[in-house]
Amino acid sequence: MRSWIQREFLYRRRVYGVLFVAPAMLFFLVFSLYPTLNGFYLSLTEYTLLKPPVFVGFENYTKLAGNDQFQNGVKVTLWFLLGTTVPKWILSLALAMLFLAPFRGREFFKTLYFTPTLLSAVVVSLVWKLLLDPNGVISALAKPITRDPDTLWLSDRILTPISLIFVDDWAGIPFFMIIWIAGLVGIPRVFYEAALIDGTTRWQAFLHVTLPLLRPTILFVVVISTINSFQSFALQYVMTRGGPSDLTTTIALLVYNYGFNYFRMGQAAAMSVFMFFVIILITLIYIRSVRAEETSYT
Amino acid sequence: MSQVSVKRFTLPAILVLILLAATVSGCVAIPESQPTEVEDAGPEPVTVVYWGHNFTPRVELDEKYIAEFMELNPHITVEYEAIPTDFDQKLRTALAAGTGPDLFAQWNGDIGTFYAQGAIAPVAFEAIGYDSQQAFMDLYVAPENTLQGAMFDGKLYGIPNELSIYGCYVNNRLFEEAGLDPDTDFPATWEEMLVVAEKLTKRDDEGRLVQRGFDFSWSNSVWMFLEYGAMVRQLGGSELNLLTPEAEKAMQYWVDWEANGLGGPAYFEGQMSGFIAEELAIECDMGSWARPGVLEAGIDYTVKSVPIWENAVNQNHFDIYAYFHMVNSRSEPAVQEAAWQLAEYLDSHPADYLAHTGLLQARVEVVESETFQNIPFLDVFLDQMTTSMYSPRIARFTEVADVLARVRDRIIVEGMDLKESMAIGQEEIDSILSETR
Repeated sequence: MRSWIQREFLYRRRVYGVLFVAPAMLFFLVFSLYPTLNGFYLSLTEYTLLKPPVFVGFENYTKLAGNDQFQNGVKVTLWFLLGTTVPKWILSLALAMLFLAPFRGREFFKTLYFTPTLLSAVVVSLVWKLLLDPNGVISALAKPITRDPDTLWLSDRILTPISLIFVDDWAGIPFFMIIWIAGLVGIPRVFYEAALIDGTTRWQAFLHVTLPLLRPTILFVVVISTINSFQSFALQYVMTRGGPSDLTTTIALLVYNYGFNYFRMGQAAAMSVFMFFVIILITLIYIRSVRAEETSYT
Repeated sequence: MSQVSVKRFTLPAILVLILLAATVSGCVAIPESQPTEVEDAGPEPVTVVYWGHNFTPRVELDEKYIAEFMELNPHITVEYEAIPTDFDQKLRTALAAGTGPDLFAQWNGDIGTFYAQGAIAPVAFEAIGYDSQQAFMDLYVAPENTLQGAMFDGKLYGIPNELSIYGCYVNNRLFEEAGLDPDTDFPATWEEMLVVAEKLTKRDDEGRLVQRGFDFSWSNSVWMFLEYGAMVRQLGGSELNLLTPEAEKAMQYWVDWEANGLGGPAYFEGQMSGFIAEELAIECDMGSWARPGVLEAGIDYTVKSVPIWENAVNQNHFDIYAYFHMVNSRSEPAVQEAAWQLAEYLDSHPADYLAHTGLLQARVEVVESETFQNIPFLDVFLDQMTTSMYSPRIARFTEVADVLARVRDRIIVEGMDLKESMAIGQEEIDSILSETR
């Protein structure tokens, strides 16, 4: 009797569990899994939007190998990735540590510095596009250094990619600063006190206490910032449209151009799939490396 | 007891209400709305979904004429939607999903791809009351030019609801400040434009460019294609063939323009903005539609024809472009017919559209109207249309336009040799066009 009641209870719990999870699963299936699988399928077709897709096998992938624009897109994306991840990690962590220390007006400055995170990427891009105009404020402020009356921040081959990286870092650092702060606050003070008793310097405490205990936060910051950088679109679309000379055409922008402007949805899907696997690969490498370090400590 | 009394009163009350309702409805009913034998034998009800751009003055007129059209054709219901933003993307996506509109107004840049993909249907002339295509074309001024943008294999695939061409807007004040007369000193050729623009260009004490004489549209590759293509065709070449002296001359002109500090991609903010801010003395990237904005800015202006080369072999100014009413080939035949009827009804009031929206349809009747005659400089735009061409009606027009912009940028931004950059561009264009065949 007792076991029957237990079985009935477990059965009901499972049924209710499934029912509770079902809406979220349905949402995931319809809005995540289906589009992803459909993207895979489209990458194997020639699809102009205006006619039904025609299956072409892996032709779109082989075309990518010889596509100069795609290769340029990969190069641009990787440079952008480098410029918008490493500085973000370091500077946002430095700022988080700065804002953890007590000083007058700390909360005010923290809030002020967090403000860019509240703006949409499009707004950020439009504002910076105006600021970086040859006749804009930045040109005027930088004139003593550049000695150029019309600095071409968004049309020079060297300055344009750097300008975009700077804007992305400016907008992204405050968000990661908050994440670091959350991670840092979670480290018990007792570890630092023990380290102090052992005679460690502040730098040693940072290396051997802070960083190891921040590992889950590091993983989050690294993975999310990498994915964001890979998928960067609004900044390039609004500020430069990928120019000049495709120097800021990231893969995400190229996917948009191929899909919606060039009517080459099959090739656009192949590029997306490529990007999908690269992101997965990089994420897995990060997770593995962090876990390996965790194991070495235990 | 109470239930019985309720039932006793309810039944007569319902009967009285029914009788009353029948009497009232009989009194107020419009005889035409009642089903009759004549209606039963009439055409099947049809619904036409129509998408247009959200240009407020035109939307108001569209709504007025759509209501009139539905009154005249009670069997046709029009579902009209003025798309607020991203019209191109929404239209392409909807056509892909099979949920596209039956009738839409779209510019000619996409028409080559739409035709190549079989997405649009030819105009059904009989359905709109014309014996032949020629009879319909005769409604237009210089139809061999003005309607060419929707012509494929001798068949017309669209009815223009806006025909346009760029003209050069001249800021009279800036001309006079430079000691120039807008009427007599405006350059008729591209070669003269260099000299005149230099006189109108101003730099401040620090060397900052504060006023440009003239500048091209650099920011959007499609416009660059149109302007560059038109300049190449003036010389008798084709911008799809970049490895020609004509194409090289036109590209060199653009490159020199930037190199000589007269303007360039870094300064071009978009159509109108420089001219409205009076930082640009001559703006040749605006059609007749720009007049209200220029007037609102309080600028004393003149409009002149876009220059041509000294040794031009034809009088092609910047390209003609148009928004055509096109019909979705996937729609049912009866819907297609109704869609063309609606398009023709909307486009058969050109004087009203010109008066209230400034949009020109170049029909003979509107050109002869008082409205046309009373709008300054409209004749300049129309004159250019009678001798100019459309940009090539090729599939993947936008992609080819982007190639051309890259050719330019490689030379200007990366310092690549002009011929080398053009050779790379030619390869890319050939590859794109070979895939469309």
